[in-house]
Amino acid sequence: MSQLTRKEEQVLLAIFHIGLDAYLIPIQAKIKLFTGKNYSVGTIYAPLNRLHLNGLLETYFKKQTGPNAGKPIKCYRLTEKGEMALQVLRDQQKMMWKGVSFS
Amino acid sequence: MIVNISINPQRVIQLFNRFLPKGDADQLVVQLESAFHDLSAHEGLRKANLWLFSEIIRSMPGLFTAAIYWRLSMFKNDIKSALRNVKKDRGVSVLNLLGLTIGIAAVLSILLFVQHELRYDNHHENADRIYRLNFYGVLNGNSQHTARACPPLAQLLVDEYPGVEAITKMRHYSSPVFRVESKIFSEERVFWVDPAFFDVFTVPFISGNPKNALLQPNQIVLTRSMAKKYFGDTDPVGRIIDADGQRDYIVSAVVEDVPPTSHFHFDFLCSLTEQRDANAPVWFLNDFYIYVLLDEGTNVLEMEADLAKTVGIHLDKFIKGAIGISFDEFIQSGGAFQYSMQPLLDIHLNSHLEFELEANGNVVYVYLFAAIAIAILLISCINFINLSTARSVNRAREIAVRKCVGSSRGLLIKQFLTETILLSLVAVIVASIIVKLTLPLINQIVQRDLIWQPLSVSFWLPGLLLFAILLGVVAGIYPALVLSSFKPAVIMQGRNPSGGRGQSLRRGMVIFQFFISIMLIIGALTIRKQVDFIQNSNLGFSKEQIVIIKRINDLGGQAETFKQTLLTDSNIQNAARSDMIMGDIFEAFAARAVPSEDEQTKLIWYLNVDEDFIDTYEIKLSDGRSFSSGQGQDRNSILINETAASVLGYEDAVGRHLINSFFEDNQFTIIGVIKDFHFESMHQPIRSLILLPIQQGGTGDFLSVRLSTMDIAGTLKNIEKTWKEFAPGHPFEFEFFNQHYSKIYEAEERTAQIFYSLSILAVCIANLGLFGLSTYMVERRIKEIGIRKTMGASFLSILYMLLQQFLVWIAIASVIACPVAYWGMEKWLRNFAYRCNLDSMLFITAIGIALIVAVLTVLNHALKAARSNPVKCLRYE
Repeated sequence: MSQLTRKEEQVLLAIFHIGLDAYLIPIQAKIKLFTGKNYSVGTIYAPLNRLHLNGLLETYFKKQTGPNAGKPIKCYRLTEKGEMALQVLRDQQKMMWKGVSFS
Repeated sequence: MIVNISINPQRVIQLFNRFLPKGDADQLVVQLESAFHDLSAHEGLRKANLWLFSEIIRSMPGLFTAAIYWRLSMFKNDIKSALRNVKKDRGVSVLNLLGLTIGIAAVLSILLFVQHELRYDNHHENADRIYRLNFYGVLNGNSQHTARACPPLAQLLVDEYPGVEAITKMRHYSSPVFRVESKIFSEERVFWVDPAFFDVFTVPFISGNPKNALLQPNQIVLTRSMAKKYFGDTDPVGRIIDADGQRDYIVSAVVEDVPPTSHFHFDFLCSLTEQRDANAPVWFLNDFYIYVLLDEGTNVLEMEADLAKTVGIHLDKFIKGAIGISFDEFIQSGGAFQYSMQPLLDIHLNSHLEFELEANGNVVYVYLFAAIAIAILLISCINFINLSTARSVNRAREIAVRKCVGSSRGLLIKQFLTETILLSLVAVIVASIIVKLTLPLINQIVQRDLIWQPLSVSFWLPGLLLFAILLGVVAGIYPALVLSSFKPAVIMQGRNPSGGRGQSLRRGMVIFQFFISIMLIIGALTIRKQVDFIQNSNLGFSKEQIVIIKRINDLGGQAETFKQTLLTDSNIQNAARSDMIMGDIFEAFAARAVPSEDEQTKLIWYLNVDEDFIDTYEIKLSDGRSFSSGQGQDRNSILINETAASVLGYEDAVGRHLINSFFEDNQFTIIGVIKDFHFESMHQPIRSLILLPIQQGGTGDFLSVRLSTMDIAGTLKNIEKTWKEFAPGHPFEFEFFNQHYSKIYEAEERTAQIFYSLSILAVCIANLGLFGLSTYMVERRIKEIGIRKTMGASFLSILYMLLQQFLVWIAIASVIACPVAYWGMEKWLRNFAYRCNLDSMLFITAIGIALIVAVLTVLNHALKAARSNPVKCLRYE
């Protein structure tokens, strides 16, 4: 499997942290919280989709209430494969960062 | 700032739909909407609007990349299926591609030629403001239209027309032998020009200064390649070149070589300043090529009209002196003496005057070839379309399945277009390579220096890409529309989805292909016939076995002795000196018969010859006698041809007199009349000609030697040996008369060759298409054939049935092609005063060729089908 990109990593982690009901808007907010970067929904859409296609994410639908009732929202959660990918990435980084210090 | 745009979700969906798969766009809108509602509930509508707006704007780049990603992955799939299709039907794909490639290669080379022809003389900075002065004169029914003018005209233009920015005179009349140390060359491309040459024309200097390069009489300017030839890598400026052993030229500058797209090419420019008559006020001395550079915005038509008047005023007394009438009377009597201004850019394609500097191109041929290029392209496109639609039966199932899994018609069309564009791209690339490889051959046929560098010339690459895409779309759109319209249900039932549709279109296209092929064949045959006619018709003299030795004036007074020495060789039958030879352009002077009834002055062409000339060329005398040998006897005697006799109004010409109208004391006695012979090309009727004896002391320039042996090489060696004895150090140059004379028909020869190649190509491409098409047509009828055979049809009747269809098509094509070709070729033949007839044999041959080739093409499949065992093809029913 190809290496995750930075943005994919951010998206995956954001979804992981949100847990339930992770869709575009909360993901966007989460990433902003973590990194300070204000991505547009369109920018997040592309990696999100790619991850879904590659089987790192799976989708489910959440029913809405209020004025938008009847229009379900597509939400994302990590698959096992997605968790694995994050794991691999973290291990790699751990290895690479070992003993690195800037003082 | 008030952003009070209420966002219409439908709009947004539409926008997103452009970029995203349908479901995703909906989903995105749903999510944005819910966030929007949250936001407007908490922070107010305005803020929510603002947020949404910025969100959409900022999303665009990301969405755009996503869209491209999707398009590309779809495209990848299209290409994959296109390649699979090509592989599956390898034979037909190769045929398809081959036809297209050959077609494109032909079209590219023709385009290259056309582009080259249209680019002539464009390299001059002020090309659009440069004009050449041409002369048109009529004298008692004889006319002369030449590319040359006279020195006083140049003076007049400078004096009286403020619109003239620069004017240059140029002369080209002899080919000196240049010597630098041990290097001796005879040079043909030497021009004598005045210093303003560099003001009018753009000539890039490598060294030296245009201001003073040709001011002194003994200065000479070389081109780069000539500098290399004579001086190698050393600096030539200031070096001395010896000309004819008579004078020394100092090299004053080196310039770039003249580009091939120029209507004249010089290797050397010498100074005109020294030549006596360069400024002579003689209006009849139309020996100079005069080019003017006009100011911007000068009205050329007005200037031309005004010039005619002014010339008349200046010419009045000359005309009076020469023929005794005033200029006005001269004009009223049907005479003409006028100069026209021809745009420089028109010269190469539109000018066919006497004394052109080089053989020019012809705009008619350029258009013709462009038309043929389009026709060939059409033929190849038609092949493509025909074969693709014919294949539709085989692809029907694929289309049905694609439709069942949800492919839309648009997607299918896109898929097919991808396929055809891919094929046409491949064809264009292969064709480019073919053009690159065959360019030397093409250059030989068209006699040009075409260059094919699609990668370095800016417009070719995008042009080619665009061309490939366009071609792909044009060739693919019809099959794409037809194939994508199939109904899956119909196909799955096993019925033929196309029904009878497309049959008549296909028929029409095949007929069109043959129409063009047959026309081209007729054209090629006619041109060949005319060229043969010209070459085999009786010229009035014998052109075989004659060798021309050039530059015998190098021998000085020994020319006659040299000739006599040669004649002692038993292999040499005869030899004659003359100042020109047939195939050159002869000069004319104005003469009139004395005494005659009307005393009218006529233009008569002349040639200086010695007493053996008519014997050497086996020209027949019809009356009187030839020049007698022995110098000086026949000083003022002349021979005239029959046309001249009738032009002058003589029934019995021998013993009559003729005077040169401009030099009254120049009186000649006619001693004989020779039979007419073609001293010019057969484009025009034979004109009046007189043969003058070479003046005393003159040598002539050429020695025509008639050989009476098969051992031409040996005899030539002997002649060269004799030459070396007589003129040590002078180059020995010779040419076979045949070759020299055939140069007048170079353009026709070339056209014939091009026509031949193109018609062969067209027939090949058309038949490639037919071959592919017949495969399918026979395949489709295989069951019918099986049934017919079981019912007792014979082998021959089935063969006939299969061929008949194609024969009918060709018959229809011939019926249309013949009259069109007849009309076109009649028009072309009108260029010739002496021409062959367009007989029916020619047309029958052309149709026969098309027929035979077509039958041979189809026969293979037809035979196979007719021989096939009906059990096999009916087995599944």
